[in-house]
Parts: sequence; C-alpha cells; structure tokens
Amino acid sequence: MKNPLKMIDPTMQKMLLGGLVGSLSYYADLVLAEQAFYPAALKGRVMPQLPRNDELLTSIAPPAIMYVLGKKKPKFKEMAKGTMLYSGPHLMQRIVVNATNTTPAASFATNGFRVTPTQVFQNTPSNGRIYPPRTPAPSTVVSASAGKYR
Amino acid sequence: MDSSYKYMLIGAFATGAVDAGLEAYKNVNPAVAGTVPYIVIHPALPALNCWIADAVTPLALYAIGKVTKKRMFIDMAKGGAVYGVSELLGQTLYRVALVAQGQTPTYRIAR
Repeated sequence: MKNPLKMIDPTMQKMLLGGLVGSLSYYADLVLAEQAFYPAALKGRVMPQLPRNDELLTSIAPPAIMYVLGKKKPKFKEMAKGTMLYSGPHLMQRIVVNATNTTPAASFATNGFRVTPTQVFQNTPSNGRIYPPRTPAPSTVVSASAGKYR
Repeated sequence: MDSSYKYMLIGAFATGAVDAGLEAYKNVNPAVAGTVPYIVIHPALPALNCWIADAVTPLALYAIGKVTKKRMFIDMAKGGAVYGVSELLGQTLYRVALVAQGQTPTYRIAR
C-alpha cells in the first residue's frame, strides 16, 4: 500500500506539521486548563467577547516562536508558515464564536471550566432589573420592624 | 509573500470562516443544537458541523480547482487542508482525553 504522506510534496508536509504544532499546543492547553494547578489568571478574559487569555496565548505564541526559529534555521520557515495557516484562522473563529455566544443556555454539560461573562449578570437582583456594574443592588433583607419578629 | 502562500492563507481563512459561521449560527439560534449538522457521531470524534467545515470546504475548493483548472483554487484547498486537518486532529485528541477522564463531550467542546 502506498504511504499517503509520500503523495504530499515536502513543503506541504512541513506546513502540515507546522499546523499540527499550532493545533496540538492549543488543545494541550485546554486539557491542562482542567487541572487544579492551572493558574486562574490564564482562565480569565480581557473582554467577555474575547477568547480566554490562555486561548489567545496559545494562538499567538506558536506562530511567533516558529517565526523566530525560522529566522535562525531555514527548515522551520515552512513550519512557521503552516502554524500561521492554522493559528490565524482559528483565532478568528474563536473570536467570532465567543462574540456570538451570549446566552448561558449555549453552554454544555461538559463546560466545567467555562468562564461566564459576569459583568452584566452579577448585579441582577431577583426583581429582574439590571443595574450597571459597581452599583450595589438594593438590599432584600427584611427589616426587623416588620412581620412577626417586630 | 509569494502568491501561492497568499492563496493558501485565503483558503485557510475561508475554511475558518465556514467553521465560525456554522458555530455562530448555532449560537444565535440555540434551538438548532442537536439537529443536523450540529450532531455528534461519536463522543470522541468532532461534531458533524466540524467535519463539514474542516473537511468538505477544502475538498470543495480542490474540486473547483480541478474543474476550472485554476491553480489558485488548488492552493486555497491546500491552505484549507492545513487548517482543517490540524483542527480535526487536535479536536479528536482533546475529545479522546475528555472521554478518557470519564467525561462525555456532547455536541461540541466548551471553552
């Protein structure tokens, strides 16, 4: 049987390898993010619409590192192009998906580490009114001067 | 940037745009979750919409290139293939890791 990888030209093989470097670093980070020792700062978001900080990091760092390596060793040059082919569109995809994901119902059963944008919801008292951030919601504690405890 | 790589980049972004478009459509219409193409074939494999975006788009670009005999579509298909193969393989490995930890990933992985 023919080896399918031999049917691809060497330049394309290197680009594919570069794309896999970008993909595996991204998904390896997602697996690590579920572990207890993972820093909480990386799980945060700069803006609710943007992907998590670690997602941004693992989308930007691999092509940048490969580019620097490609400057020093020519064999990494094609791999750097491949990493860019994966990481650029993938970052765009994550930003679009995060920007449109506004409903809490869109989260799924496996989203234990999903960070919900809290700026809008944290000051929503039971009366349904949405108060602007940093404005304390009115107290719902019943005064001792009312009811049977007066 | 040589023209071949330029078209590869366009193809990769086109594949990513199809991927993003399908995900975004589900996000604005949550009722479509669980219907075709937002279904899981196997918990350890990417959902059907990922296969459509990441595998069918580069193949369609390749077919257009073969029919019209235009080199730029073949280059776009190559770029789309780099994105699509990497995404499908990475997502499969991630889902396998989730299944191995005892979780059952549903329609798509949550981030």
